[in-house]
Amino acid sequence: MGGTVDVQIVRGDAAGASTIEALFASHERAMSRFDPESELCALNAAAPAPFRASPLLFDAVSEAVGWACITEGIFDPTVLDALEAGGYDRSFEQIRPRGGAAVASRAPAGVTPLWRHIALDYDHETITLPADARIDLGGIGKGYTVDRAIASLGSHANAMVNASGDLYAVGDGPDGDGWYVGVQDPFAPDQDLAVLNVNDRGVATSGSSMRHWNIGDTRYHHLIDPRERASSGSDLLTVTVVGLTATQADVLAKCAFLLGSAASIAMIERFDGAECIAVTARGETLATSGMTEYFA
Amino acid sequence: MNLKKNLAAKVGAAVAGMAALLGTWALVHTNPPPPAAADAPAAAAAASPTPARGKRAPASAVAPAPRKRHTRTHVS
Repeated sequence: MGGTVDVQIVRGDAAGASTIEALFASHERAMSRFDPESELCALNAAAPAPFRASPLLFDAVSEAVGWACITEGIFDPTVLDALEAGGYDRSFEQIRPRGGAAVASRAPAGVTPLWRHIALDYDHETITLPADARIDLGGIGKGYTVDRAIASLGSHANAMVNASGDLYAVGDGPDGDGWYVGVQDPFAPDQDLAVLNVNDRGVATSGSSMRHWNIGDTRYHHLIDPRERASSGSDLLTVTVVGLTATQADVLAKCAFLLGSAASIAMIERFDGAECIAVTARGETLATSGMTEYFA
Repeated sequence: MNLKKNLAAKVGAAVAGMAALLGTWALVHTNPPPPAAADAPAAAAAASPTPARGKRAPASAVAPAPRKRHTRTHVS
C-alpha cells in the first residue's frame, strides 16, 4: 500500500498496535498488484478460470464489486489495464519519466463494464474474472484495511488508525471531545484547509497532486476515469470525504474526484452519513450541506 | 539699597540650593539606596531576560494558539 500507518490507541486491546501492524502486512501480501507472489496476482493470472480465494481476498473483491454496483461503475476495480497503459505498471516510487506516448484504450460505448462480469461464488468463495479483466484493489485497499484494523481493537475502543491519509477515528479521542483531523490544503500542503472534529467516522482524501508522472509531454495520474479508461481530467484538485467507514470515505473520495465539481457534491449528498469538501484547480472550495457539522 | 540687598539674598539662596543639590547628588551616586519594596518587582522584571508573569507581550511576539489536531488527512 505504500506510505506510513499511524496508530493512536487511547483505549483498546493492549496488543493492538502489533496486531494492526501484522494485519497491514497480511493485507499487503494478499492484495498488492506489485508483488508477483501476491494472491491478487494469482487471481488475475487465473482468469477466466474460477479462483479459490482466501476469505480475506474474497471479502475485499466482494466489497470492491459491491461499490462498483453502488456507484454505478464510477468506482471500477477493473481499470488495471488502463492504469498500466498510462505508465503506472510498477510501484509509484519506481516510475520514471519516459518518452513516447501512452496507449489508452477508451471504453467502447454500449459495452457492459467488465466488473459486471465478475462472478462471485459465496458458497465456495471462488472468484471468476472475465478473460480480459484484471483487478486492482488500490482504490479501496487502504480504507478496507483501516476498517479491519479498527475492528481488531474491540467494540469499546478509543483509537485512530491513519494509513497515509485514509483514516478511521473511533471513540471520544484523547481528551474526550472527539478526534481532530487536519485537512491538507492542496495549495499549501504544509497547512490545513480545515480541521474536522469526528468520532466513529472514516475520513479519506483523493487527488492527483501526489501520484502523477509524465510520458513525453503528457501528464498522467493514478485516478483513472473508467468512462475514458485514462487519467481523469477532473477540474478538482482534492476531495476529502467523511464517511461511516474508512472504506466508504476512500471509495467516495475517488468517485467525487472523478465526477468533478459539477456532479461530485450531488453524488455525495445521496449517501447517508457521507459529507465532503472539495477544492477546484481554480481555488474554489465546495462542500456538502452537512460538512460544516464536522468543522472544529 | 533694598534692591541690592534683595538681589544678594536671592543669589545666596540660589547658591546654597545648588550646593545642597550637589551634595545630595554626590550622596546618592556614591551610596545608591536599596529599591523601595514597591519598586522591587519592576526592577527585577527589567533585569530579567524573560517577560514577567502576567505581563502582556506585544501582539507581534505572541504565537497563535495551535489548533488542536490529532492527525491529518491528505493526498497520498
